[in-house]
Amino acid sequence: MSQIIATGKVAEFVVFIASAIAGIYYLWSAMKGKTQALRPMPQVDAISEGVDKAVEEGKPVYASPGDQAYLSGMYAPMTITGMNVLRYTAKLAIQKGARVIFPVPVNAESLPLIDGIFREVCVAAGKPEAYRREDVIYYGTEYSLHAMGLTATLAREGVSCYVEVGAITGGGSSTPAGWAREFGGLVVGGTARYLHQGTWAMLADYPMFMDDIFSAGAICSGDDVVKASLVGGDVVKLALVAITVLFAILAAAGLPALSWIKA
Amino acid sequence: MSRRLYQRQVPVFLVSVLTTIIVMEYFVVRYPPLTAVKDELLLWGAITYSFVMLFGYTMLVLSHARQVMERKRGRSVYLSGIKLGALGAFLLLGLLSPGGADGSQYRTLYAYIVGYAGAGMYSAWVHHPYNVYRFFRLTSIQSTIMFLTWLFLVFRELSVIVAVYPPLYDIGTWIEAVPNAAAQRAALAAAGVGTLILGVRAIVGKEPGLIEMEVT
Repeated sequence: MSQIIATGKVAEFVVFIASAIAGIYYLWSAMKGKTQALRPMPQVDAISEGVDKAVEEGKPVYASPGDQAYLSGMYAPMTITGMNVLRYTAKLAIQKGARVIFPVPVNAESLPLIDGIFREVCVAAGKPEAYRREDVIYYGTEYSLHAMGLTATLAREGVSCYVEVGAITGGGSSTPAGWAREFGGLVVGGTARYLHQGTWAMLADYPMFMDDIFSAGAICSGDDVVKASLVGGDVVKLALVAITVLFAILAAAGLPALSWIKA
Repeated sequence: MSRRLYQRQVPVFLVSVLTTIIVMEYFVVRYPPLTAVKDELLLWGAITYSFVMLFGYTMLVLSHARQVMERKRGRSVYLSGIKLGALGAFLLLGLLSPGGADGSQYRTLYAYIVGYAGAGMYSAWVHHPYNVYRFFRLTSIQSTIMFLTWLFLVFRELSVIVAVYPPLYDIGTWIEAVPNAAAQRAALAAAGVGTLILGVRAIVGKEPGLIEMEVT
């Protein structure tokens, strides 16, 4: 195998293949009609509560895929899953009659996607008049401008619910998220960036940590096939935990376990 | 030809093929022709992404132009007017000033207008720790552990504290190097698997996040 796979990448390759097989198996079995029961996520349920709160208070809901929602590189998967949550939030808000404001990330290329989702959701809900161009707001390419611009919007328009899930920085998001909570908004947010787990643990009423955002994206899609694929990921994670414990025991016993992983 | 075919199936097929080539190149032993294909594909990816960015900025300008043309004169109309005006002014500066967008005039004006305004706004980051201190509550085992972790790392960074009681430096370093590193690896592994599963869904056309949009 080492003649085909580059040295040092065998373990990575095995995890990659195992994840792909597990994911495809559960997708395939769901397409055949065998769905998987998933426990509800309080963070996703909280979005619905937040939208109800917005309807009662007459203040807007904010939905964002993160201030750094790039469509390429390591942030792209976070952006994709963030768009699922954004769509879900927008759909609930439009159906229930709440106003939604979409803070556009610092990268303007995500604007057409957000604008398109907004239009699509309004039309699908039978309320095309709910689309308001001025509620898709771009603050500029600097994180500081995004942070201050969005904070100004929160102060001016008020906030009942603030949902930000996806590719997030500290500079662009932490200040507005903190102010959203200060102004009485229910904050639901999270990212898969390790550095910012503490930020959301502090600032969100309902934080999502690391791969929670991918689970939330799948659940928000409402598609049983998409949701079933999460189970494949869980199988791989359990296997990784078991392998980690096994290799720790082997290494403690004096065997060169680390060199096997690096093969 | 249905919209589903050219908006969904053809792009998903192309992405699947291109992704397979790039993934293969990453895992297999070095094979120069495959590396050359991958480099060419990444170059085309960068070119395509430039058009995506151009599309995004065009949409932005069009959106503000439509806003300005609204009959109802609200705050957003004036804000859009200012944005378009600033865009036009910097565009003219970039085109007409000596050296263009790389010239000293353009760069000086940008630095003293946008840069300084941005620097002032960065001062608002003080709200990050402010909000954290305001909202933190010692109400659970997890939050207590988080607090203790923070406390010992702060002790390590304060030389006065370390001078009074030197072992605090080692305690902070141990927290960072052992429990934190373990938690970080577990968290990154979990997020990595989640990313892989999402990627697999996208490749087989079962990820609705972006590509399902406007396909009817």
